[in-house]
Amino acid sequence: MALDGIFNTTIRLLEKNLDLRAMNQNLISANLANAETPGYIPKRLSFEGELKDALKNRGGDTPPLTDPRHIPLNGRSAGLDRVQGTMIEAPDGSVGDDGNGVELENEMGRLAENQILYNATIQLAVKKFEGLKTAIKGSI
Amino acid sequence: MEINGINSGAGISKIIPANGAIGAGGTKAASSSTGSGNFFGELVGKVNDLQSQADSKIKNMVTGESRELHEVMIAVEKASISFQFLTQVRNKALEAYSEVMRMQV
Amino acid sequence: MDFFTSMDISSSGMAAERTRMNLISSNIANANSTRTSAGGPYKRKDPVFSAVPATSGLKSPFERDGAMGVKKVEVAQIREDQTPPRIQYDPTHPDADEKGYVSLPNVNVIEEMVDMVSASRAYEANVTAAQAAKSMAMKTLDLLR
Repeated sequence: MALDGIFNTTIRLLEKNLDLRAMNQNLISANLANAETPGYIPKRLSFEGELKDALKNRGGDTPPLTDPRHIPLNGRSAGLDRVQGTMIEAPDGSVGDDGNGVELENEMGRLAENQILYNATIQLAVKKFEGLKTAIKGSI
Repeated sequence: MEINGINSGAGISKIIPANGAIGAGGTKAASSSTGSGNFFGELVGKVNDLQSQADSKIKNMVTGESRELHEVMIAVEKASISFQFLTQVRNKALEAYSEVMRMQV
Repeated sequence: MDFFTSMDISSSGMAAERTRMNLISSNIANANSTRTSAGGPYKRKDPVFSAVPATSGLKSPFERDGAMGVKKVEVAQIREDQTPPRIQYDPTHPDADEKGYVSLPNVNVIEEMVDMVSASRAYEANVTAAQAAKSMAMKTLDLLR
């Protein structure tokens, strides 16, 4: 399908990144809200390693074609679509007396980093789409 | 007064010698470093390079290998500007070509 | 993955911290109240926070947010501190018992102040998280610009 060829790996990568960062944002908000809850261990999403692996994998995990008329999936993006990220549950510093493991400073740092990278990804996606529009329109 | 042919060397063929190069089987295009045909080829190659550099910088940022946001932004902007430049050059070249074709013999 | 869940969680955090602030103010104000409607000196109050799932049970169990188990916070109960009250010898006090001892509330104002600072910091952190979620959502609209 000619339309799929327009949106290359980078755009898919940016989409996936937005997905995962939005998920991470929810987790970080939950950590901050439960900063004083006894027995709460902070959670976060780890996906950067998985993204790297998915991009390196070329055809290693291409699903087999069951019918010769089927259009083969681009191996790279198929692996990319399956990246879900793993949720890590680990205390930020030492666990307090009441079992709470949230360190406000760490969580705030993660919050800022997540937000900045999310916004940066949005900007990059905008630029990419603009580039596509320029190419299609043939003029700026 | 002599009536020279279009390809007699007056003006036009100097501007677009690429046509002559293509007519000669393309052998001249590879060796000549001037001429709009080759200029275009080089430009497209450079734009492609910039685009793939930008892509790889984006990939590094997303996978966490590099946290240099400014590098990514600058590379993407360079790629975008050079692509727009290429588009405009193409448009102008096409315009010039149609202008030439419109001329009555 | 929506930002409204995130803002919901942050607002639950803010509400919980606000409840805590109210209790702390009540503790500080009543640090010297020797009689209450229930009889006896004022007992220090403390909120008990508990982490509850943030998504309603109606969503499909395979939905990512539910699987991730993001939790918001709610005040499970408000418990009264059962440590024994401070005893002070003051036979002239109207609430003194037959030995001349007055029971004062078990409120330590210094501890309350420290708790207050901690609650206020946690509240600010939740406000920042809510602002971050909002900014990300607004930025997403730029995709269409």
